[in-house]
Amino acid sequence: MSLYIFYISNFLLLLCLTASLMQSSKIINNKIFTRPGVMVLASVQLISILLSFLILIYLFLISDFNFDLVYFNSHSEKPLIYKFSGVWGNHEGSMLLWILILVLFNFLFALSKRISERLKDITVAVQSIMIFGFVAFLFFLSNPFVLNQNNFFDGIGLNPILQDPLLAIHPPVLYVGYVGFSLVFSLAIAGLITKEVDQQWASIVKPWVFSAWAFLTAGIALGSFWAYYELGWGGYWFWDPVENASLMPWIAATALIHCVLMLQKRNVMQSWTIILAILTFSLSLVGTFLVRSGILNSVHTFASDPGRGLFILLFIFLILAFSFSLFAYNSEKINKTSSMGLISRGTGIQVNNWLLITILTIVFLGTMYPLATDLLLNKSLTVGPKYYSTTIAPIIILFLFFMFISPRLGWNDTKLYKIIIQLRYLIITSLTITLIVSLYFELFNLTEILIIFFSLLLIISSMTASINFNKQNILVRTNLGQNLAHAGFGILMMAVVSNAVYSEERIYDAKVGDNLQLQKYIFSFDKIEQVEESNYNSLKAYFQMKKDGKLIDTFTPEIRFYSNPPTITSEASILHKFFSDIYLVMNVPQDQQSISVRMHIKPFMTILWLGTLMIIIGGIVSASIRIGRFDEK
Amino acid sequence: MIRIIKIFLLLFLLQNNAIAEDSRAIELFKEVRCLVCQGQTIHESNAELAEDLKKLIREKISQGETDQQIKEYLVERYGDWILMTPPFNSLTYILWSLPFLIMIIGAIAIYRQKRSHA
Repeated sequence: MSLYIFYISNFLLLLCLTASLMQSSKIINNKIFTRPGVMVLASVQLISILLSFLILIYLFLISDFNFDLVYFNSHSEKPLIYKFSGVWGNHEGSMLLWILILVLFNFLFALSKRISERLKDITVAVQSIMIFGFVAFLFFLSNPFVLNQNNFFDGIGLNPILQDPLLAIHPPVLYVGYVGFSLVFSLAIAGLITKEVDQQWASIVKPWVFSAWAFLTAGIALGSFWAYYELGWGGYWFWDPVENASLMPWIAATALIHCVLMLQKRNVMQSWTIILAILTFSLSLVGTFLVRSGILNSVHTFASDPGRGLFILLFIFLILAFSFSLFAYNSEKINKTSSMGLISRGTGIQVNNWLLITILTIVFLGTMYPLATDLLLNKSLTVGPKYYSTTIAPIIILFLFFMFISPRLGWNDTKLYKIIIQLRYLIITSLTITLIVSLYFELFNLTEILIIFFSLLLIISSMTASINFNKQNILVRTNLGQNLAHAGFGILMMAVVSNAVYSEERIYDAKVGDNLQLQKYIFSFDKIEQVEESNYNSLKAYFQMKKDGKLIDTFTPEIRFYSNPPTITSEASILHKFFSDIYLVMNVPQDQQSISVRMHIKPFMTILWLGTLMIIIGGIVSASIRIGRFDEK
Repeated sequence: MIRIIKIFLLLFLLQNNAIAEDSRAIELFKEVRCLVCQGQTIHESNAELAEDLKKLIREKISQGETDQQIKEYLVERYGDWILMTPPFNSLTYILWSLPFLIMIIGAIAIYRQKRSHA
C-alpha cells in the first residue's frame, strides 16, 4: 500500500513539473505550446499538487510510519488536530503547502477575466517558472514522500511547542500572504515585458496585493499572539530575527499598496512600484527560507541541510538578477513623467514610502548586522529591542503625522494652512486629550507624548472621515478600508506605547499558602497538583486573585512535560480585560519547596489586538471593494 | 517622639532606597543578555548562569557602582555581545547612523524632485 502511494505521489509531483515547464514556455511568444491552453495547464498544476497534499494529510492521519516524514514528525498518540497540522510543522510538508498556495494563486489568476491575453500569459508563465523551481526543489531536495526500510512501530512526534491550535493556522495564513506577493511579482515582471505598467495594470494588481497584505498582517499577528501567551515572557514582539524576517516584507508591501493606489489614480511612480513589487517578493522569499536555513536559530528552523540552503539562495539570487536586469533594460519605457504639487497627497504618500524604507533599513540592519560582524570580523554583537525602539520611535511620529495629513490633502497643490484651519477642532480635541492623559498618568516623555498625540489625531481623523454626508445629508460612500486600517494603525501605536510605559511585573518565589501582591491585587497560592493528559503530564498551580478581599478570578499557570519528543513548556494563565491583561506564568521549580512565579500587568493588550484586527479588516475591505469598483467602469 | 520619627524616616528612606536599587537592578537585568539562552535577557531567564549574573549585578549596585561601571565590567569580561543594546563604537557606526543617513537622502531626493517639477 505504502509503495503505491509512494509511486502515485511522486508521479503527481512530476506531472506538475511537466505542466509548469510547458506553461513557462509561454513567456516567449511561441507557437509550440499554444495548446494546451493556460487554463488547462493551470488546472493540471493545481490538481496534481492538491492531490499530493491530500495524500500527505492522509498519511499523517493514518500515521503511516513507513514514510520518513511521518515517522520523524508525528506520533500515533497525538491528538487528531496536531496530526493534521503536523503536515506543515516540518520542512518538506510546509514546502508542499507553500507550493499548493503558489499553484492556487496561479489558478485563480488564470480564471480572472478582462485582462489582456499577453499580460495574462506572461504572468502565468513567470508564476509557472517559480512553480517549476519550487517543485523541482521539493522533488529532488526535500521530497516529502520518502519511504524508509524499517518497520517503525511509532513516530518521534511533533515539537510540543508547535502543538497549539493557533500555530496550526499561523503558517497557512502567513504563506497566503507571502505567496500572494509572488503573483504581484509575476504581474510586475509581465508588466515590464509588455511595458504595460499603467492605470489598467494597477487595477489588476490591486485586489491581489491588498489581499496578500491582509493575510500577511494576519499571519504576523497570529504569530505575535501565539508568542504572547505561549512563550511566557509577557511580551508580544521580541524583535527576534524570525519575527523581523516576516516584518520586512510587510513594511515593503505597505509601501507597495500605497504606490499601486497612486499608480491607479494618478499614473505616477511606475518604476518605484515595480521595484517595490520585486523587493516585497524577494523579502517574502527571504522571510520563508532564511528562517529555515538555520542561520537564524529558532523554532522555525526545521532542517538545515546545506544543499537546500544553497538551492534557495541561488534561486533568490537568480530571481533578483533576472528581474533587476529586466528592470534596468525596460524601466525607461514604462515611466511617464507627470507632476504633482509640492504639498499634495502624492507627496505625503511619497514621504511615508520613504519613512517605511527607512524603517525597513533599520529592521534589516538590526537583523543582519550581528550576522555580518560575526562572519566578517568574528565579533559578536547583540541587537536587542532597544535599538529598534529608539531608532524607530522618532520616525513613527513623522509617519503618523503624514498618515493623518495626507488623505486630507488634494492631489494637486494644497495650501497647508487652509487644511489646518479646516481641522482645527480635531487638532484641539486631540491636544486636550493628550494633555489630560499625560498629566493624569504622569507621562512626561516627549516621544511618547507625541506618538500618543498623533495617533489620536489619526484615529479621530480617520473615524470622522469615514462618516461623511453630502449636501443633501445623505451618507456618501467613503474609503472605508483605508479609514479602518489607518484608525487601526493609530490604535495599535497608542496601545504599543502605553503598554510599554505602564506594564508592571513582579517575580516571586512562592510556596503554597503565600499571598503575593501585584498593584491592588492579592494572589493567594492555593495548591499545586499534577495532571495527566493524553500527550503530556503537567504541573498546575492554582492562584486565587482577590481585590479588596473579593475573589475575582482563578489563575492556573502550568508547566507541561511532553514525552514525544521530550520537551518542557510553560503555559501562561491570562485574564483578558478590556484595559489590561493580567498574566501569570511559572517556571520550572529549582527545588521542591517553592516555585518561581512571574506576574505581569499588561495594559491595553486587548486594544492592541483590536487595532491589528482593524488593519486586517481594512485590508480585506480594500481588496474586495476595489474589485467592485473596477468592474463598474 | 522625635527619635521615633527619626527611626521612622530612616526606615522609610532605607525602604525607598531598596526599591530604587531593586528597580535599577531590574532595568540592568533587562540590558544584559543571558549567555546560555536564546536571545533572552537575564531578567527573563532562570538559568543558573543568569541567576549568578543577577546576584553579581545586585552586589555591584549595593557597592555603589554606577550602571555604566557595571556595564563596562560586563563588557570587559564577556564582550559587547553581553549587552542587549549595542554601544556606539567603531564596530557599530554603520548600525546607528545608516538609518538617519537614509532618511536624510530620501528627504533631499523627494524635495528636489518636487522642485524640478514645480
